[in-house]
Amino acid sequence: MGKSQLKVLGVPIETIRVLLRVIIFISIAGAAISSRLFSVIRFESIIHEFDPWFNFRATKYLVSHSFYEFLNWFDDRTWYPLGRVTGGTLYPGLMVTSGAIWHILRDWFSMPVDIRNICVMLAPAFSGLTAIATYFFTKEMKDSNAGLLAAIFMGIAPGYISRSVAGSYDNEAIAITLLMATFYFWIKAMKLGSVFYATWTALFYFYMVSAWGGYVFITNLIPLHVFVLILMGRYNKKLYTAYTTWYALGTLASMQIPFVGFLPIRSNDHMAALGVFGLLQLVGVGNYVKAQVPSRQFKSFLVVSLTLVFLLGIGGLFGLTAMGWIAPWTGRFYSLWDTSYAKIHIPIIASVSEHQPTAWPAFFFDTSMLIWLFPAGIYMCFQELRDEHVFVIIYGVLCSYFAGVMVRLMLTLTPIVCVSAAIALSKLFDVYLNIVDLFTTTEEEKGKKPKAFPAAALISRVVVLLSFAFYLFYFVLHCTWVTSNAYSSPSVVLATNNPDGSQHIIDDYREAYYWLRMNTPEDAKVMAWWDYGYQIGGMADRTTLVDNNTWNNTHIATVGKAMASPEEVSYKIFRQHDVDYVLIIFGGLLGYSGDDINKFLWMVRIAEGIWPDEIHERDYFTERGEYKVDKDASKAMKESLMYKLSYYRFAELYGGRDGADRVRNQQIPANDPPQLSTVEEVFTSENWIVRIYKVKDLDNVGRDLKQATAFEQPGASKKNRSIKKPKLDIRI
Amino acid sequence: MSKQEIKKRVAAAAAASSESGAHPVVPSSSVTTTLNELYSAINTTIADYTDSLTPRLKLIDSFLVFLVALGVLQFVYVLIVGNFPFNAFLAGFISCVGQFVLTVSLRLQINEKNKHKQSEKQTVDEDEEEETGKEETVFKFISPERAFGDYIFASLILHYIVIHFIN
Amino acid sequence: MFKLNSLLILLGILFIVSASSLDAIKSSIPSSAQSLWEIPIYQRAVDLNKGFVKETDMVVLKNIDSKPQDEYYFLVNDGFDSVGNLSVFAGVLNENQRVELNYTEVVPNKVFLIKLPIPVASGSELTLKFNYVYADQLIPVPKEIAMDKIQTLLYKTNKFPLSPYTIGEYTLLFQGLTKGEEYIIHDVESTEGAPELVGPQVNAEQGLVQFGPLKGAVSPFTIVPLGLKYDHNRPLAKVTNLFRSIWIPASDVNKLSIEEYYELTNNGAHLDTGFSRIEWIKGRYESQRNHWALSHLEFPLTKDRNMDDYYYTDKVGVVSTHKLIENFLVLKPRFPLFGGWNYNFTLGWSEQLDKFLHKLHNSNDEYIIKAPLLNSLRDTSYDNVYLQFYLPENSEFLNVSSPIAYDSLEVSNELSYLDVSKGHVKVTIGYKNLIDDLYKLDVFVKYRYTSMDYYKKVAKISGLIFLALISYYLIGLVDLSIEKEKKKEVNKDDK
Repeated sequence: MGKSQLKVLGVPIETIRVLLRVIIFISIAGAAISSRLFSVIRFESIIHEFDPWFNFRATKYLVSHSFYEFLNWFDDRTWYPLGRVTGGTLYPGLMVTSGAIWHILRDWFSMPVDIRNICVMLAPAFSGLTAIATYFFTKEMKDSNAGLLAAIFMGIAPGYISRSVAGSYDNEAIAITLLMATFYFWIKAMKLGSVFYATWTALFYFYMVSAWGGYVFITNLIPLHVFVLILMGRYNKKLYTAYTTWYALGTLASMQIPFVGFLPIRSNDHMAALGVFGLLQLVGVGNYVKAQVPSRQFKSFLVVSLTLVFLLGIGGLFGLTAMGWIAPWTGRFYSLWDTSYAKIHIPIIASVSEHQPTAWPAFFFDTSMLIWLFPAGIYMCFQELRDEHVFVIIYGVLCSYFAGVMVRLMLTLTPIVCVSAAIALSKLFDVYLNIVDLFTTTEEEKGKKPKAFPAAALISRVVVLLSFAFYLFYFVLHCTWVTSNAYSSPSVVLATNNPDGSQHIIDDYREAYYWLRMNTPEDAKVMAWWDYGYQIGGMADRTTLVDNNTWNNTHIATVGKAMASPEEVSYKIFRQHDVDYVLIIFGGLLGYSGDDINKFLWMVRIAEGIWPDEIHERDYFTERGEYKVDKDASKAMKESLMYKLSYYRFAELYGGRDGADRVRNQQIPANDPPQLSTVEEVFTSENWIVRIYKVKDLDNVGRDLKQATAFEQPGASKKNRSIKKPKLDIRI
Repeated sequence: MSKQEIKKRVAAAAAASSESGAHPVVPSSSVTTTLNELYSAINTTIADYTDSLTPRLKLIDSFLVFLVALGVLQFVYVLIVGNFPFNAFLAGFISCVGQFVLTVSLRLQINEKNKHKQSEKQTVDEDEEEETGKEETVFKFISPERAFGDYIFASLILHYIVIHFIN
Repeated sequence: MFKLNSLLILLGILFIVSASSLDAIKSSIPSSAQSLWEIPIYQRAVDLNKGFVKETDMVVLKNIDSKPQDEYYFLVNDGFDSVGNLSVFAGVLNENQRVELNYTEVVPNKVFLIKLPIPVASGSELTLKFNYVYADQLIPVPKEIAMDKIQTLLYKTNKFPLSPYTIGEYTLLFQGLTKGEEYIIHDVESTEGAPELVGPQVNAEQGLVQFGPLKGAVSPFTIVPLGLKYDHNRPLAKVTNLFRSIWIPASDVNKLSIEEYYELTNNGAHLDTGFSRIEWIKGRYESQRNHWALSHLEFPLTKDRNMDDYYYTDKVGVVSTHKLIENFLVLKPRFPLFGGWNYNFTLGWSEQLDKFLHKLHNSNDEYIIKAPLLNSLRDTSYDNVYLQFYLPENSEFLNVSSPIAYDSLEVSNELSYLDVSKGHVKVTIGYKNLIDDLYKLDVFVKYRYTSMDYYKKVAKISGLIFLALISYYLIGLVDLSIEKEKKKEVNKDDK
């Protein structure tokens, strides 16, 4: 394609190329952003799901307080009565980013945009940047054509969209951008041996550390890359310069984040980087020596020093770990290697759906055609195998494995899938699109001497090109479809269609949360399963016992125990923890499957982990081992607070007949309705999704609440409240 | 200053050799040959090193020595006195290490030899280099001025972070 | 029993207060003034249709002094603090509704000294009509009821008019009573020797209940407490705070944006238990719309006001339950509001500017903006209303003209989109104790905004953008130069 001297309309073609590239960039960014706006258009500008609500709340705190107050934020409205050292246990990158944007817009551009809108739009905006970062990254791998392809893939790949639709205000929203930027700068630094780029790598690494716990991936991937290169005998001074600069600056910088603290020198997750750093020093010296001395001498030098260093290193690592100076690998890390580890040891991690192993169709669902272009791209990398290709290969292999283990790591796989697919596809196009050149030359020559028309070649090429054009077209359709149908639901708001086709919004969550916010005392403590902690904090603005931070397993188990136990036991827990309200999610009426009864077994399991003698998972199954809520339900099940709260007065809705639970397709017996004595119903949302109960005070006559309730049941003597003595009746 | 450097190298080498000599895995017969080879290797290296020394490299090297000394001093201090303000120690120590690697990088980049050979062999792609010590073309995109600019940039950031971290 | 006792103690305290307040009323009126007038006919009509009390008194005056008189004392018919703060007070000449009477408040909310437009000659008569409205004095009794019960309110008033003058003939009429009973108020002493008022005569179809007429003299300051407990199965909607912002555009866009933030509550009966959705569904209260829980907010629309671009949100986002039907905008809160429940929400829409903005003829840069005092939300009373006019940036606030007295007036600045200097001029006019009927009244704000100001702003914004671009360009240049310098330095070092 060496047409750089050509001119079109007097403009050098290079200029046109640049212009075109810019236009393509803008349209890619536009496509990336607009495809993420389904939920805003369909619903509204709202924060989605669970974690984003915390981030949103933290951001609001940040913009209303100073930065230092934010870093020292102790939040007493969660994890009651423990509280949470929020400032020291979060990754502030996301909040600081949106806070900075908010300040800049307000103070410099006099655009006082609502912080909520900034939070909602942050992910789409950053997805545009991700596409650009991917372009540069891929450009380093192959050329700018592949880069543009990768950028558009990255822009619309559902695997990434799933975490970056408007309103999905989560760490991943900016983390993927930073991931790609860091890798780009790393590749650049490594290729050029430039301190400058290595410094930028470190700075972006720092940004990444501040934004997402997944930074450990970078911390391990770059050393691994360097290590593999050394093993391949590809050490050179550029590698030394790039890596040591990155490591020294990056490590120091990453320790600035309070949540990370001294982890980079204490935890095993980070030791590989340190090891490679040390190794590089040795290899550097070794290489210097090698350059000066004969190879035989050098060999012995090498053998001696390597053994020494290896033994020292391993010994030191073990020693320090044993002495407790270095933290062993974290649970999440283990669960990456052993998929059943979490189930056995950390039910909390396993209970999160996004920590489950990925199902096979998910790969095709999330990346469509890219997934089968991915191996081809990796193969292309093997063919060329420059230093940077090694990086792609390592990244690809590692992430394929990780993505298979955990659904959420699909996210980190997506960029490399896009990159290698783009490499493969652009290679293919390079070969097959040559037809254009071929064809034009034949046309010019036609007049002079008739030449055999390359029909067969042409047809085969056209077929290939057309089929790939079709695939690309289909890919765009697929992405749009997936985005629109699977990833654009805020999950706070549900939408159904009325019989006449119009949209009906099911807004039970906000209904109930807003009720809590408006009609309960400001310091009321709400107990709910941890999934809803952030939402209650964000929307209802009430104190919660547990939330999605899940830092204290015992506390969560306490809530699980309260839900799984009979009322009397739960009541003691309520009193101990000053609980005022209990909130549960019940989908039985509507057929909403993500409700608490379906999560109930996890509550039982987590509670059982702490109180093995009081809670037994087996008790909640029927004798035949089924999980039932109908008349066959086990005694423990029927007596559990969760069951009672869920089905309290539920069967009445069916007017004497058995109630139909549409999630579990079971009949709730009408003749044996659950009775509540320690809590009373105070609110149930329109579609019964959220039910809120108030914990009763101790009875003022000193009866226990069960007796008191029985006493006040209809049939017992009624209090006489009337004090009026009408003298004159004007009844009409 | 260069003498110091040499001394230090020799000392390090001696230490290394003594340790390696104590290593049980290596058979005793080969130990002596290995030691000999090691000595000669080190000697050649040192000789070569002194050969190639220019005033500017000397300056850099003495700075490196100073950094190493400073780092070691801090480490010793921690071992003796204790690591109470841990982040202060870390900041100090890592600033030494960081500055060290940055300076080494600078040294690698502006090494006179690199520059000379770079002009001779501009066509060589960095991928094609063999294990023959021809990595001089490595930094063909980076002029010494650029290298120094980068060095200042990186050092500024390093010390900014250190100052932030130390308190 | 316990409850009863505490209630009595509470009422006892109230009684002491009320006694002293009657003394204050009495002492505020000079005793000489009491013998100037006689009232041959006094008719009271109390409207209890809504969640607040509207009283209309028709008073025929007769000058019994020897000289012509033009000052008359009107007292709110109370005497034992059963009336709180008045929302509206107005007196007119009965023959000519247009002539509004001037008055001064001698005792706020209680005693009004009316200045008659013309002195009334000795022996001649004059008919006046007084209107006043007050909220917050209707108390649900009992305070807590079950969801399927009917809400009953207690209305307390003086059975007789409270007046410093002797009254000849007296009638008391209640409107909007479908079912009720008298309720004995124990804690207020009746004036001794008060005449017996005949009644009640009930007209069930029209919801009218009449006492009297009583012929024969009612002596001044007669107090006989009357408690009326009646069925009122509608919510007592109360807006504790209303912020009504009116954004006036700086440019020629024919669009006036109005946004209202309501803090709504229901002053009616509380639920005796927690809210049970099953009972709510079983009772079909939602569809029947005949329940004391506030589940719908109705905004009547007029022909020229369609509000078709309205939005309805609250603090957690957009509320989807709203509808425009015929001449109503109906908003449904997220949950039905029982007594004591709160709901805050925002309603915004835009209007055509030319219906509200008027350019003064004599001057080409003075404008008058008109805005209704309230939105047309039905059957509601308001505690605090803040009418906020956001005048264009750099405009100058001149004055405000309000049909009723305002409580506070504040002019400040607020930075909004693309405000490059001090920000929009925000004129906040505060009112207290309003009722829904007042939405017909308009408030006028006069301000000066020269086209110079507008162009200044435009120029400033474009200038700043230009500056930003230039500085971006300059920074590009500067960056390069630093590199060069650095290189030069290095080169120097080399040599």
